[in-house]
Amino acid sequence: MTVSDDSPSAARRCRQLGPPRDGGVLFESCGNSPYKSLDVHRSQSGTKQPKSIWNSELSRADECHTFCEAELNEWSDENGNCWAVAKDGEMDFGTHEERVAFFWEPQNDGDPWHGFPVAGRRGLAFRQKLPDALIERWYESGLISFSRKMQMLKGRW
Amino acid sequence: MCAKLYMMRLDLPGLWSDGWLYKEHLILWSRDGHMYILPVDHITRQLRGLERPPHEVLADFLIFRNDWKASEQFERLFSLQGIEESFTANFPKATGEIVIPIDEATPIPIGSDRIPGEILDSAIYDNRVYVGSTHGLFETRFDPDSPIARNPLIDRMPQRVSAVTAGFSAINGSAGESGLWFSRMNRDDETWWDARSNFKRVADYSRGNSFADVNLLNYTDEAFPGFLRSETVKERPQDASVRESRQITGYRQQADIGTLMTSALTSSRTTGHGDPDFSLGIDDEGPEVLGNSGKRLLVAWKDSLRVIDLSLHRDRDLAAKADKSYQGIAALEIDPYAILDTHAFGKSFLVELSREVQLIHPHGSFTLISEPVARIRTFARSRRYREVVLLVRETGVSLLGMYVA
Repeated sequence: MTVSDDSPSAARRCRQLGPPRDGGVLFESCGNSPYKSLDVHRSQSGTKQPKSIWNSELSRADECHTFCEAELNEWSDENGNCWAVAKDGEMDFGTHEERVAFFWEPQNDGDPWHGFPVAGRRGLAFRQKLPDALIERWYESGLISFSRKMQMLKGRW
Repeated sequence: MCAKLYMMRLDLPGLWSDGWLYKEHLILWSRDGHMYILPVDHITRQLRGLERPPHEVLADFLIFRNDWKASEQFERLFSLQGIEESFTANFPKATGEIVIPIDEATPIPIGSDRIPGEILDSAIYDNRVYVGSTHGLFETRFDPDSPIARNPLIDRMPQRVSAVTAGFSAINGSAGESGLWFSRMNRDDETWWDARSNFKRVADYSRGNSFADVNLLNYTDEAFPGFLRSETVKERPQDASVRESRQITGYRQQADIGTLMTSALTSSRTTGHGDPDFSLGIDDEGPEVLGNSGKRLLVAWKDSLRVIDLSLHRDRDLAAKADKSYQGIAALEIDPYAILDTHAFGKSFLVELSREVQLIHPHGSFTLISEPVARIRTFARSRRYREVVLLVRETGVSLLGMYVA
């Protein structure tokens, strides 16, 4: 996802809270939540899970902003975790053409959120279920086409 | 590999959700779940009207009488010098692709009830229509002799059913965490709607299922699908029936084929199929089955693809070995982890990627269409449409037939 400076959300961009430390970069999201961009999801060398790496063309700030979109739009599942989708025509979130991102709800107060690109297809299948209702909302709001909606409903994403 | 793909594509406009080619009809579902039919001769009539007789002939061989192309007669004829060249000369040299908009044929609505929820999968078999949706599994009927007759729509299962297969007089439905469900086909043609649903759960979890000959593969979140060996009885086939001579009466307990598959991959390394990648250790990143085309399994391993064949002869153990006709597949430039789905297509595979659909054939891979599609339907179990593809696209449905030379 790319965010142009004149977009309505530009004023709500994430704010970096300091230099890289403890395996990531900490931000304050546009919803005032702490968000940590983890090193292990930024490069192949930083993780033993090479299938879940953010697209290198998507900066850490953009990664946090992807979380912001999910947070502000309340794209959450029944467990409180957040999901985001790459709008049709915009760049993939992940290195294996993942177009959905998942953000774990922090277990403890004050812990930061973190997230990574996910897919439902075989070979990369993420075990959390992408809710049908979210897919429908993304379709209704014009973020994804009918084809993408059907791919997602069938687990082909 | 220097094979070339020749393809004919017929484009029908409309906002569709799903479709099937069944006997002499194209069956379509609109996005609000209503069923429509279009007799195939309404389409061929327009091809005739184009005053380009070769296109009508090509459409017969590649799409509407696809069984001709698969016949021994066709194969023998094409072994004669110059026949294949004459056939392929009817395609544009640069693209090898003929695209014809079919805008004069209008699908006819059937007055049946709409499918509740979003249609996720469907199967038509022996005039029975099964549709899995976000709201359950539904059954209706389609009589090719009375195609627009209204039939009841019966709710067979309340669970979200993402994959439906029908064959050998059996129906299988994948309902995620609710499991894999199986039922023998209801043979009653009179008051079939009154029959009670008798689906049985045969596995605890199922994301998808697919026939491997008469047996079933159950796709879960694991690297390898579960293998369900069928129990069958024989029946005398009736002339008018599409039913096979064997009927599935049930499945044995789901078996793990992981060890077998891993062994087939590693043994092919030792026997050697000219593939340098086999020198990599299997434990570094395990193989994963992406899908199957009958008994051929498409496997992702070490960032490339492999094809492993399963074989099961009556009263013998299941066996697996690398498919020799796909020795060159590891060299294909396809990221296995970008494959969204796999479909059986004759002896080949159709793979869906995020922005295109490709044919993986023993002679190479070929792009069929370069856009995301809502649905890919192949008819691997059909006699007549075995190598035909139906694509549901943003603003229409396309029928694709092809020839690899």
